[in-house]
Amino acid sequence: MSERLQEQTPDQSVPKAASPVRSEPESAAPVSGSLGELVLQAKLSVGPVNDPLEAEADRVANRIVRSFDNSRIDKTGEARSPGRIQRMERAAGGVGPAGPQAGVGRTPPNSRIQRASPMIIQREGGDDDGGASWYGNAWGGLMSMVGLGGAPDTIASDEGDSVKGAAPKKAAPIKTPVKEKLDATQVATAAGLREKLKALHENQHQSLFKDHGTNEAKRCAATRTALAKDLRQVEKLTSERFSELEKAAAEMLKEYPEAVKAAEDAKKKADEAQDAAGKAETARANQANLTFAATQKISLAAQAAVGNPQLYSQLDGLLGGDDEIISFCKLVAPGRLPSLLATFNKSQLTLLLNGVKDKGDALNKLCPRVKETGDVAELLKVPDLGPAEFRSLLGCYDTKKLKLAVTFVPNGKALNKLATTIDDETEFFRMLSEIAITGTAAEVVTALAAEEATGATEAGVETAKKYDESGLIAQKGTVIEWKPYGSIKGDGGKNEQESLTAAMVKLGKGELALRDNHRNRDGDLPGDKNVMGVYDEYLVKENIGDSSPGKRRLVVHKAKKWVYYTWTHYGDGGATPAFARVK
Amino acid sequence: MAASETPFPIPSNGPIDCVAHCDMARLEETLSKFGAHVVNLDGSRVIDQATLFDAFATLLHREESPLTKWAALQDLLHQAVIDAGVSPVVLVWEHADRLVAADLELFLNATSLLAGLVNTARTVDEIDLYIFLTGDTNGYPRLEDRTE
Repeated sequence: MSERLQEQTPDQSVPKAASPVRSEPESAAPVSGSLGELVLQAKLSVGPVNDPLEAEADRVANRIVRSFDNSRIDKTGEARSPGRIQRMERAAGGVGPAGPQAGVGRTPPNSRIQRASPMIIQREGGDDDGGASWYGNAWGGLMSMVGLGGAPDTIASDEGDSVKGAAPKKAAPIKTPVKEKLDATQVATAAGLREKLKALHENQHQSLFKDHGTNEAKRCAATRTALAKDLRQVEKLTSERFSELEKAAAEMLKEYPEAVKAAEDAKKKADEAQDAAGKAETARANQANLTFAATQKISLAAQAAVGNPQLYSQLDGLLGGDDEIISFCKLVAPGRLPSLLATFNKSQLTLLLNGVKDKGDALNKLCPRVKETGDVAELLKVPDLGPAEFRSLLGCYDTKKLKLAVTFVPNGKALNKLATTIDDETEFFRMLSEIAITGTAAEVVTALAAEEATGATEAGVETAKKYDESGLIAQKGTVIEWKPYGSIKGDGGKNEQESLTAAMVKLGKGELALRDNHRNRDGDLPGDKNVMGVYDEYLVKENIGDSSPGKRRLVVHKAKKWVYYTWTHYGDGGATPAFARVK
Repeated sequence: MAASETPFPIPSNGPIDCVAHCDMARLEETLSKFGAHVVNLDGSRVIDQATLFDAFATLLHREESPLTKWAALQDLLHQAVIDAGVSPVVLVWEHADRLVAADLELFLNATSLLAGLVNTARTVDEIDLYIFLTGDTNGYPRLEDRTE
């Protein structure tokens, strides 16, 4: 630090060789001639450790250095408080043999920093003895600074130069010639003082380094303190976080057994399911094998019976029980059933019916297999079936099945068959009452004959009437969808919903232009075919301004106000649906 | 396209008239002179619904998309009459007697449709539409024998 300060001082251009107070022994010159040429050469010696003077010098040096440290130092190393520590400008003419500025140049590096007050070293007037006078001044000032009682407060020169401090004790002019007044003791004292000055100089350096070290130590301590603080904070945070993690881990560990248990349970269930699946598969395979064997036997029996009537008598022996009867029923597909039964002659059917313990059980078991109403009708048309057999057959029919057959069998052929084949009138009317047909036998037969002509039974007519009221049963029997027009997807074409909505609004206002009279020629709408005046037809344009009518139409039942929408051009070309009713 | 003020040159007994097929040339000539837009339906091979619809599809240039619905047929014929842009429009169904012999009910359905079409064209679209059926049997009178 001191080197930097020295290098940056404005006085560094002053030649050092002319310094009257040189610390370097090799550059020191012997004292000769006047005091102005006096060169004080330090005699380096090592004093006692507890030298009071040295201690005093250290104290003063420390005080100076502290005052230096107290002044704020900018980057250039200049003290910013010139009012406290400053160097006074020397008068022109110089002091010392080396020139006017030599005295300044010889100032020890640290001496250029001086206390301005109360100790101001000031040169007044001319200076013939140059360095000696300056030195006297410096010496006096230094004595004032160090406060040595034995040292004169003022050293006056004969040229009137004076070195005075701003201390309360005003320095007196130094009387000249100094050299003459100095005796050997004084010279020795001066030499000692020079030595002291050098020592002071050295001590100042040491103090600077010491203080620097102290400051660095303080800074390090502060840094260490801050780091320690940070470390404590980190430790605290880490501890807290660790606690949280520990807590979370504890929670996880708490849940872990449950999870393990759940996983184990799931695995156990999976294993059980797998075992069950395996067992089921095994059972299915076994059953398939058994079924296959039974089926083979029954199939052979059935084929033999159908293809070779002589073998049919053996069915009794082949169909050993209900299970095999059921297997036989399952073997026969519903579509094949009528034809199969139709191939049975009376004796064969009787044989079959008699072959089971409970007569009719076989057909009773067949009933669930009969899905189509047409099959029911065909069953009733079995040729050469005598009244007894027929009664047995119908006896196994439940009422629901019978009603179903009567209601939906076209042209009433089933009932016609029933009427013509059952000679027991009581039995006949019992069955008719079950299906809610009343009247004498003649009336019933007449009614059935009429129904055969019109193609509808009374129940069928009632059902048709009920459906007619909904407007959702087309003439051909198909069901028409009924949807809000906002949810009708239609062809999904451009602007379909907007066009349909606009058409519906106009229709409601009576502003939609009539396109045609619709006669329901295809039977896709409720009501009779080809009747004029029932429906009106309107156009739903695909795009505004289009000349092409497109495929979208609204057809309205004029009396019922049912509105039907088609986007398939009435279902032309097989497109579906032909119409949807619009809510 | 208002109905023509000039009386139609052929006495008409209704929306559908029958003419002997041998007078076909004279019929077309008369209609052309009257300024009618004449279209011909070839019924020589029409014996059932499929062939009937095929014949109409050919007439309507819809061979690629066969007709299956009566409503669609009526709608397309109706649109064709509108698109003709003239009045009167005359549809001549040649050899209609073939379908009469093959399927009378189908024939009645078809003529019912055409009669309704005539009614719609006249009342809704204000277009004079005439239907002529030609045949070789006694039910198809010669042109000169026609009386109102």
